[in-house]
Amino acid sequence: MKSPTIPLPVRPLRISANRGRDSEHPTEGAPPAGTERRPPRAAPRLASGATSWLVPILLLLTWEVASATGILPARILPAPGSVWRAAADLAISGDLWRHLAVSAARAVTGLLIGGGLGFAFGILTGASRFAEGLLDGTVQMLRTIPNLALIPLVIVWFGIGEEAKVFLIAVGVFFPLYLNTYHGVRSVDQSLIEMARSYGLGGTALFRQVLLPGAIPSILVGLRFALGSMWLTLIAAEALAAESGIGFMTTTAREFMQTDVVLVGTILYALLGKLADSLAKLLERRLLPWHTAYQPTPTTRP
Amino acid sequence: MAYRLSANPHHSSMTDQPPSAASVTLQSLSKAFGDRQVLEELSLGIEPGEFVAVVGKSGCGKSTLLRLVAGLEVPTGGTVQVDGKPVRGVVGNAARLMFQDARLLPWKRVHENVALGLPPGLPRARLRQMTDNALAQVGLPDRSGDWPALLSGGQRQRVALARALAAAPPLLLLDEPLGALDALTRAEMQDLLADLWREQGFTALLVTHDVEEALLLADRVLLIDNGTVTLNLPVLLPRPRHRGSAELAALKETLLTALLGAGA
Repeated sequence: MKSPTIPLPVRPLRISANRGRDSEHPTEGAPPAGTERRPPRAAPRLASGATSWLVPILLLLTWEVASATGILPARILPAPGSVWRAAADLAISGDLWRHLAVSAARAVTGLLIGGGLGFAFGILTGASRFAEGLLDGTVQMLRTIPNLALIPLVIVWFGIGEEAKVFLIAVGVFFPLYLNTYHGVRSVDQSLIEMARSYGLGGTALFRQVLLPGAIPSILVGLRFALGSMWLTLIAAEALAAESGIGFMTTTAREFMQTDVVLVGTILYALLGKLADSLAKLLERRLLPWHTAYQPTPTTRP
Repeated sequence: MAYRLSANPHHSSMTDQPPSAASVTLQSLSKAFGDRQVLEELSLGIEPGEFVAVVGKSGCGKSTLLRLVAGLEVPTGGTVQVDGKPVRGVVGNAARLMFQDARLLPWKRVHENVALGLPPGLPRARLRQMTDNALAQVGLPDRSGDWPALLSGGQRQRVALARALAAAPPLLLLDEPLGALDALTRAEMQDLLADLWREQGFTALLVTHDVEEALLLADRVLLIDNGTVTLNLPVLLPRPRHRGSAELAALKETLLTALLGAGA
């Protein structure tokens, strides 16, 4: 797995912001003169929402029909209904929640340790030229090692216990958070820093009021990359060796040819990934209320 | 400007301190960037409460002069004194600097940006009262809760002015603060600056490329060429001044001729 490169901080924000705002910016593909400039907002959005569900529903129907007629053997891909029943059984027996809790705890622990360190080191090298000279070169070198390549070494160090999994996840989330925090602090507008200095801000006040808030958009981009890396590493680590967790659940099910449970596990990973991404987006909205992406159309003149 | 006065009935200084003004003394001030000599042995005195404008061709060192007074640059020779005290490092509360761009922190609301100009550690209610007063003075009494991104260019520069004047500084340094504004907004801001200067009595040093702006606002206009002051033109017109007046036009002619002859 490759560590992500540094993106422009604004890009994901734009993506999330445009979702609800297309109809407010009719510049692209604007209707010809004479037609109504702003169509009613709800209608096209509802229609496009329904359209986007059309293909998944069709696929699901095809899948169900193929399974029911026996074209698709249950050994290859069980029917949607039986996947649903497998999920329900696991939920009722409590196994589902136990494995889910174990996996989530691993992910969060790894994220807190690796992400916290990445953030701290990023702040350090971003704010101090000395720390940058001392550390950044080394970190950039280590970054090129894919974290899954460490698996053999990690097994030698930690065995196959919890530490090994948490360590791998921590390594996986460290670099995206480090890179984007460092980049974020460094790319804060120099003219704002000069202004703040001329108003007597220095040291911690300058950091708290200018450098950190200016870096937050980039840090949040790093967090979203880190979340992606977190799930990927978790899946690999749990497939490797585990006594509990979603990975253990699916690996065991594979050995007993319980394809429906394998599918439940796969879908769970997808849902967890989606949930984490939504939480990150929520965090963006909470932390960046000032960002133009989250504001109503600016008024140009009083 | 009627709306401004009505917005702020008690148009005294924004703090409880009596209006104060600083003197500025430059002695054989020199500044070089590498091999390039920008200012050479420049000496200049500014009286407390005086409004001095500096004009010159671009690259003549007028902005550098201002940045040296603000302590944002270190001179290669000579001294800068504000109120008799030599400037070392950032000048701090003795002077406030307004830039060509507003430089508001986008993650702070308008009143929090203005609060940057006030000493830290004030009680919250007092702080809010002072920032609201400062915003009323620049004609933006109702935008204090907005994010800077929602303001127009002229409004942002007004907020920057409120921030600069919030603590009633004895010296205001203006680095082409109106250069990026449209003509109408610029004219409004010039009137606002003139009014606030007359009310508060601070010393003002304005760097501009707009000759008319210099003559409208300043007691004295300096022309800088080849790193030194080549013209020191007192502007004895009564205030408030009018853009269309014949006297102003005559002075403008004189100044423009000198400016065009500079560097020849």
